[in-house]
Amino acid sequence: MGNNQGPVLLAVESLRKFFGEVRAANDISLEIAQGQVLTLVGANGAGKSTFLNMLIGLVRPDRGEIRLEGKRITGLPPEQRAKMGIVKTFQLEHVFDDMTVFDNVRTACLSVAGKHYVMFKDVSTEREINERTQHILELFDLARVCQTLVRNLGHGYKKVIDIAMSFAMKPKILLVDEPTSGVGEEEKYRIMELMMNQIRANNLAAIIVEHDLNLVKDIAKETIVMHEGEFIARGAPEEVFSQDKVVEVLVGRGF
Amino acid sequence: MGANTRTDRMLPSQFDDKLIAAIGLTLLAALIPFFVSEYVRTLIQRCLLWIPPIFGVYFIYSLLRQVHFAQSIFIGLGSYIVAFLAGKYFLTSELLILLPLSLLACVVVAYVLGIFIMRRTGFYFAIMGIAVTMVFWSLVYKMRQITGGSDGISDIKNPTLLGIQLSEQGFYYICLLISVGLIVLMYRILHSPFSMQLKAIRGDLQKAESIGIPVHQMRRLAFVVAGANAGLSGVLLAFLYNYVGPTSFAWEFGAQFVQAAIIGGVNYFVGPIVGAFAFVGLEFLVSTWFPNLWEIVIGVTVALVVVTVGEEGVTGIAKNLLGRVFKGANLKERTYSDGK
Repeated sequence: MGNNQGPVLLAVESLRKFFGEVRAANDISLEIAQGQVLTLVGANGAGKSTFLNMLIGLVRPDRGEIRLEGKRITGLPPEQRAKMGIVKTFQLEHVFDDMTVFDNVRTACLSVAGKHYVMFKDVSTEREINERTQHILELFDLARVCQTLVRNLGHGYKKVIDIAMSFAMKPKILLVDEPTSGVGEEEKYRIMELMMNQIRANNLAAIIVEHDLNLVKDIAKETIVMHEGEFIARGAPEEVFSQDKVVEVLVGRGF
Repeated sequence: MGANTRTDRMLPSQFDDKLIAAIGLTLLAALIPFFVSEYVRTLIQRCLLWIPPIFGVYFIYSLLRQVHFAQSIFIGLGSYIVAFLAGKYFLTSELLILLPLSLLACVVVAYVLGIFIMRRTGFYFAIMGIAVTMVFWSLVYKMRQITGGSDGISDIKNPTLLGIQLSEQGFYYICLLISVGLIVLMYRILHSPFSMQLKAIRGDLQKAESIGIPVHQMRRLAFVVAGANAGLSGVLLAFLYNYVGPTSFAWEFGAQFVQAAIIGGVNYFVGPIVGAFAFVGLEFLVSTWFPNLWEIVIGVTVALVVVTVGEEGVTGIAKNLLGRVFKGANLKERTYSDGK
């Protein structure tokens, strides 16, 4: 697996997480270079979400190491990792329901600018933040709904808002957990296109968990198949999906 | 520039629009001592000093949706610092020393308590607040030699400012100044980047963490903001009555600020102000005419407000009535923090 995109950005070394008998991650190792986009596929319960959650610090691994640009981040809390550039969008949309679309993205912009403790300044006077927020909203085609409360928007919108917030974090590597789950066929492609455009434009590394194998073939040159906490295949999607063990895992389990 | 005009309009931050009303009310409050008896003035002073701790409750509720019963800890801290330094072991009654000192004490204590209390939410947060308050209360109650136990500490000297003894009227203006100052400050804080991120934490803690917000630290600081408000009030309340007793640490006292916040209405920025005047006013009226019915009246009032208008409170009712009288007038706006 040559990493011809650039220097190694994220290095994962024998990451392990068992939940009792269940092996969510069984000595996983992985290296991702800057600008490298991978898709991750596997049946439900294969350990994909746990793997991503370990990378961002929501789940503590039993053992193993995670390095971002050579720095060990294994023990760091999620908010610090996010600041260092490893950001995840969630499978079930995680957005701030009782805030407007603008404020959702603005919160991420404030956070990445380190303005946590600015107490005595009106948020509307943070000009740079507000302009950047507006810019991101336009990139993700959200400007029209920027004053709408998020709770009044549909599932597809929330997915896009979640992704836009991740981009506002100026990530180096983006972890995307099923960006199109529960979204209609047409919207699926729209969301994926919006996201992939930005990933390419900013030369970001990304790990994208996706169930739609046709989409997987479209979005990345390389895919990894996960099964019972292990990476069982890796390579070009067409090639990987023709391997017997992969077919057995993905089809046999009703994928 | 489109971005800016849009964002400027999205928060009800028309501070300038409301400024006239605010200045008018402040001036009215400033003129009051010239027209009313000493008794009524003291009552109004009490209302003014209740506003900051209620704002603390409002702040924690509107941004984090937590019910904060522990404000009495900070009232008690501020009050007992005055009781010791300006009373029992008389060292100074200089406000410029006592106010910053109490503020510092409250910030430190609130931060340390916040480490534990702010780890929990909902029911557990409320109960932790009550439990910690009871510990403080019983320490003060039991350490009779130092604190005077249930007798409390009286003989607090009158406050001085820059070494000059304040007249009772002068002290009224200090109370007004600090109360209004804290209201303005809370307005600022509620519209700040800090508050916006607190609101995000309330909305989705995991997401807030994953976009780099230091959730625990920020929650602790919110607790500090609330406590600092109460602490400053505590200092002035001790001077107002020249007496401090262990009841200022009682959790029931803290609960009264919650009740006042409910009566005022947690949907409105002016809710705590309305709540302070409504609660203290009601307390005065009932204790004057039906001294034995106080608990019943306040209990029924809170229940009625909760059942009929909920988070709108008396402010909501007033707004509704005034809106009918002056058709189309948008007298009070919802605060941005209620998210509606």
